[in-house]
Amino acid sequence: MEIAGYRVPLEVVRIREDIKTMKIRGAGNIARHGAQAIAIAAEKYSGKDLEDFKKYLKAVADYVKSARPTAVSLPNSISYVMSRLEKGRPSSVEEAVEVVTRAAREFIAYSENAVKVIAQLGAKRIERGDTLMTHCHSRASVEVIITAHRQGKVGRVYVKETRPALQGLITAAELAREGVEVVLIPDSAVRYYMKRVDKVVVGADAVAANGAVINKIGTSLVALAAKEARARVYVASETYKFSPYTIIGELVPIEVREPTEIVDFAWLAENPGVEVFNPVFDATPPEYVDAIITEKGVIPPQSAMLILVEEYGVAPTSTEHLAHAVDLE
Amino acid sequence: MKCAEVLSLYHRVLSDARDFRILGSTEAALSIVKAFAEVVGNCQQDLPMGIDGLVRAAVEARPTSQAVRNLLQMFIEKSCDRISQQRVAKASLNLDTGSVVREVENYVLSAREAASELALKRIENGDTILTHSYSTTVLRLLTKAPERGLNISVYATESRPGGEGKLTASYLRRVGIKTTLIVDSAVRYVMKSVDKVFVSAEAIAANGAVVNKVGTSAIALAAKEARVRVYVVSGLYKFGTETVFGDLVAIEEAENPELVVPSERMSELAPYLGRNLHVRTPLYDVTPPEYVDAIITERGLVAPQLAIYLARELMGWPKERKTLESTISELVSLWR
Repeated sequence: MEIAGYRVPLEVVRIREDIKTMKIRGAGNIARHGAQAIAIAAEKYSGKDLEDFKKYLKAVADYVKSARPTAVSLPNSISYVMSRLEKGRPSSVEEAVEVVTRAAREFIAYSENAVKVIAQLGAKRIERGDTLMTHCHSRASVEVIITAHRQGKVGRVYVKETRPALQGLITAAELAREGVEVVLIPDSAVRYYMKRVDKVVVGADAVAANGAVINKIGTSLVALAAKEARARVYVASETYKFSPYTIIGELVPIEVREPTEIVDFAWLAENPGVEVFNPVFDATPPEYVDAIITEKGVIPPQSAMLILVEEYGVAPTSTEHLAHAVDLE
Repeated sequence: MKCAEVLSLYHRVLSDARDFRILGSTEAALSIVKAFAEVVGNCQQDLPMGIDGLVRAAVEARPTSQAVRNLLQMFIEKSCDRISQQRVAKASLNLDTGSVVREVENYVLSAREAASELALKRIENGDTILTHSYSTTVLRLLTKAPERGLNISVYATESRPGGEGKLTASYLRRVGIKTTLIVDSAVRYVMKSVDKVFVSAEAIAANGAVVNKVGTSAIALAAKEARVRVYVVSGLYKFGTETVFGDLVAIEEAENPELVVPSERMSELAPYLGRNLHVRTPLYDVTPPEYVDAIITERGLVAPQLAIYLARELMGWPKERKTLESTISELVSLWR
């Protein structure tokens, strides 16, 4: 595999492929693998020219980032590593590799710790006997529920199947393994069961500057049904899922995947005229979200902006980011 | 045909209706009435004893469906009328069940035709319509649109569990309508580009609440949020007459993991299934009347709360209470 004249190491190609085909799933997991991929690429570099190394790594970074357009955690984790390469001002390739691999390790450790913190904070929001509902599979929300369960607070969890890929089955198995009382339901039954639900806990793939939550398709319908039934909606999300681009007006692109995730080839062949529309994510407006549980604290969605400014140094007036926006094209 | 033969055919039809090999509620109810008529025609001697059980089995096959109850009742009432008009010795009782069935069927088909004709007036050229599940009434309506020169496109939801939305999509495409299939979860995502929602009903309750395939109420909620109109197209034979007397419409809630979990993934869940992991699949849900813009019946387009007004004749209410059970005993007494 060659990108911009550079050979991309096989392991990196494989990671990108696994992210693209969703073998590596979940925004946090994708982010950690993204950082890992950059570290691997750095270690595999065999030249001696520092400038060439930087160009090479930038090419690999862009290549890995392009695996999933909606997963903002991926560009964020890669930026985390790449910005430390910039700031570290290494004087040789060896030093640069050292900076990059250390940054990747740091990010992975930060990310894993973030989930633990979120689990602790999120569990505080759950009260004894609560009935919960969750959608899709998210490391952070599963950890919140398991932590609350260990504190003896979880009555029952409704887990939505989450078509088309049925990630709900993974969530159901993980919660059941921990002894949580689980009821697996079809997505269409969301409103039917919402009456019995006290709190909804979901993850996020991205959080926009206005607090809108981009998550697996169906999340916004869960949130709407929860609002109607006055059930609380909590989003468990690490801050590296907050999208810095949205602050400069970028829309979060919603990935549309293959029809064969919904129907099989035989059905498509029999029904060639039927379009099959398979958007992977949807946007839940901030007014349907009660709070976002991050490793920095439990915040109202509308203050996502604060995180972006404080954590990522993003300012609405920053011309640097305007330049970055152009760069995105 | 022999009595034993038609009886086994009857029970086969019931299991087809129960297991959704016959999908639409009208289709299911008509098939049941036809098979029931065969039994009445061929099992004359033994009938009075067993008729209760036969009707009960039909109602239990599709407990949520009001069409099954109402059309069976209609068949029995019409049969009673015929018998009491004959004024002949009971020994020579001769009921032409075939012609009674045709009467019921004609009523149903003309009701469906009239309702879809009225509903068609609500479709405008260029409309994007969303529908859920598989309903012959809605399919009849949508098929008419291009015939009348109305250019429409349709979103069909997959409609899990069951997935009969795929049948809806392929049917609509075959009649030349631009159709897009989506998962049930994508309903709110596409609702912004939808103009109208058309669904049918398994039952309409006295207060105008609509019982239909599970997922309908979430669609109606998303439609209301997006200010999209929701129309329920249904013959009055789906009106839940018992609900006027306080009965709740029974919602079937199957516990059948195969409906959700594909066989190749069953092993992931197998260790916990039936212990602390349960798979629950309600087949229907209830859409409150305030989320429905109108119920379109053969007798007109009305606010859901007013469906009871149109359904009065069908159930004889409030003058007298005609229940399925009382109709059966009338038939039995006439027969003896």
